[in-house]
Amino acid sequence: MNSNKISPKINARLDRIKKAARVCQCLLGTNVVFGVYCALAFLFAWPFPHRIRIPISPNHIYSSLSEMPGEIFALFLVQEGLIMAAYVALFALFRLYGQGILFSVRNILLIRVLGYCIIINWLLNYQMQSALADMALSMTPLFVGLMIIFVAWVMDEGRKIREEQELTV
Amino acid sequence: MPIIVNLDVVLAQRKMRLNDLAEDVGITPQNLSILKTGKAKAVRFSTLEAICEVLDCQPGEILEYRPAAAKQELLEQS
Repeated sequence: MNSNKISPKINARLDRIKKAARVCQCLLGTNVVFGVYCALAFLFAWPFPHRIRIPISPNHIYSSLSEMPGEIFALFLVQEGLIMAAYVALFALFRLYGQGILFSVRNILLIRVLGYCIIINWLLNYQMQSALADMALSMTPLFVGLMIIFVAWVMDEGRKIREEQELTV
Repeated sequence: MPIIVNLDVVLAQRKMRLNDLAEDVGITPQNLSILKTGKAKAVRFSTLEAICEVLDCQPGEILEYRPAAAKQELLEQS
């Protein structure tokens, strides 16, 4: 059998990936809506079933906007923007998976964006805890962010190998 | 690419369509089009053998090496 022919098993696998990606999109969308409402509830004291607390460090947990120093609030807003950017990247990535696009340049770029968001978020946490002189930072997010960027690089190399194989007749 | 594919010339000589050749060889027309348009990075011997068998030709009739194209490519890369 010529290996250039497409196996019917691949279509079934792609369908499963597409379905799972759509489910993940729905869950992510729900999570984003909930997260945005929590952030707005904290900022504008909107009604919420439980008291929202923002832990910046072990000894600095804020339950209202008025308790937050200005510098910490500014960094907190940047952090929220970064988290939103990460969610948008993740949503776009699942949308590509839902379309059956698994290893394109755009996929890899979005995974890199996620990695950078995690690293920059870690740096913001470091800055906030430094400002409060209350350091209790874990290195895990930094390590995870670097590993995600490494995985994106490996995927990019794999994509180039796959392209060469696709152009082998 | 210094290797030039003259598949369209041989197809015209044999008065054969690309889709018919693809069907006889056993690969998709899209794959054969990649070869015909010179975008292919590599060709399997099994594919080349099947093409030569169907078209009743030699590999040299389909594939041609042009040193001038190689020099042009080197100049473009530098």
